[in-house]
Amino acid sequence: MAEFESTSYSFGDLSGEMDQPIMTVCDDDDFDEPVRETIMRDLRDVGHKFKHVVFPLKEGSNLLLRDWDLWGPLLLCMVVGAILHEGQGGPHFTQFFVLFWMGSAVVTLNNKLLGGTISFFQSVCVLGYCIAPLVGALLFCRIVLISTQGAFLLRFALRFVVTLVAFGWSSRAAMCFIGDTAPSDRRFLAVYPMVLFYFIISWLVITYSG
Amino acid sequence: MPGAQPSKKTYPSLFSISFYQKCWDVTTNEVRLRVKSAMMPREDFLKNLRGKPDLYGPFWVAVTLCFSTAICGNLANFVQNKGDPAYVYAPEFERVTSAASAIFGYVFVFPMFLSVVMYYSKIMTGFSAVELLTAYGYSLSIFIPISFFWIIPVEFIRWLLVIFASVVSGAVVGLPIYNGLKAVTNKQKAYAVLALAVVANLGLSVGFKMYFFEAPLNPSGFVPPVQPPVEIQQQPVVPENPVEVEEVAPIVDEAPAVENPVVPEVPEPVEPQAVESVEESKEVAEPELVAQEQVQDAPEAVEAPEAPVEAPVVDAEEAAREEHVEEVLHQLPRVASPVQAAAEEPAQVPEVQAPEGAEG
Repeated sequence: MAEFESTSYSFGDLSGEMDQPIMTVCDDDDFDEPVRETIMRDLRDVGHKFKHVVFPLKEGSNLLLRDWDLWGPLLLCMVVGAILHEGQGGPHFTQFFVLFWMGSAVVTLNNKLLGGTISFFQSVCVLGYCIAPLVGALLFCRIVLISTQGAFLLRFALRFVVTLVAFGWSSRAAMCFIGDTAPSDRRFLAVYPMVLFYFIISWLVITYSG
Repeated sequence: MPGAQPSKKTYPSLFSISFYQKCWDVTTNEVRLRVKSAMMPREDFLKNLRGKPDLYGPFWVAVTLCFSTAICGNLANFVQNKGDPAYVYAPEFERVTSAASAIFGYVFVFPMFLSVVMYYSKIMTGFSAVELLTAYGYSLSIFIPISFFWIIPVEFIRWLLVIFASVVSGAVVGLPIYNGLKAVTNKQKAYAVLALAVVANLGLSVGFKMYFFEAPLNPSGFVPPVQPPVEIQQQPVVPENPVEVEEVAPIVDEAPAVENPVVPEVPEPVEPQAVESVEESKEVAEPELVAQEQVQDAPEAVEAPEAPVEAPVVDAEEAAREEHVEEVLHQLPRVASPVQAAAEEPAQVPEVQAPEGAEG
């Protein structure tokens, strides 16, 4: 029965033992395994990518570029959007959502127009994942704002330093992955919009006043 | 499909990347030189292009300028109002969207409009519409450092910067237009086009300054909230009929919580003042919020309709209160003049005390 369910392109003799599959490549395991396994596998992939972003290594760059997915960026975008939504005078969730995705799309398009060799979704995936340090900074700022009162200058200096470090981290991580894909005489032209994108998000993080 | 007609030249479609790629065909060096010649215009900008317009510069200069004006405007606001205790810092993100409309309109829509005007007026210039767009885009690059200098809170310096920015960005765009229009025979049309460009340029600089970097009208910056009407309207709400006691007593409980012993003034002005206080800023609601929490402390034996509502919807709360106050006021026939009100105050005070005593 297994043979009839799997997509087998074998041209071999279909007669034979029913329980001996002709082709070894049959993916019906996906349908047999429990749902929890499928979800955990995807979650592990996402977590793996986060680790590669936070500690960028050269050999890890293949992972993000080859097996891109947009779950990580979506999760980060929603976390930041939800936190920034309640801040007064700051962007609403919709505004941040549009800024994030349109910003990633525009930076990616710019890279491609300059002759970059990266594909659209790969670049959006990398840009989204590399926001992770800034999301950490936003959570830190929120904790600082909630837990302490008064001493405005000290709190602000702390938040400023953390946000600055996160901005540098994000930009460097993104440059690690994408920087090489642009032609050599246009590298700055490709990197500048990326840095601007992270700068704008850092600005939103630092001005978040709860 | 690729090998179908090898000899036929196909134009890239509007939706493909290669259609726009020829406008992004610039190197870092070229962009740097173009920005430099836009910030210090010495010669015709379009001659420097050498027939290779690009859209990278206009687009990214426009985006950078959007955010730099919004951010520096926000900083300028902060610097000016720093000492004011009523000022609460807000990032004012909505300014980015208005900046974007103005800037993208000026960089992308206006040169197209000018080109159409010149085309239909049969004015032949030496440059194309895209080249004019490139010039307009790069001309805004001077505004980015200028927006940092606009943070300085001295009005005279700001207006000087407006003039300087107008002159520089106007020269970047005006010189090519002027050179292109020199050969035109119909001088009136040429001057009209030039005037249009100058007016738009001035409008942009002045608009930036006035929208983002305007000094506040009064020296202290923010109008402090009007406190007294909120307290005054509590006193006359003292009930005449005991039916009102349950609803109104918790409100009256706030009277001792309020620090200054408020003498109940004329109840008729309370109404317009109450209406005024609804239209005041949100800070007015704060003493009411404080009062709400004190209502909450009042013993739950008295069913207060506003008691469970503690913090969130201030406006609805305020409106409900105003309605309630007005309807109670309407039921007070006796208080018709300030003298009478003042005379009745000692009569009302024991009634104020009695519900308190009943609850306390």
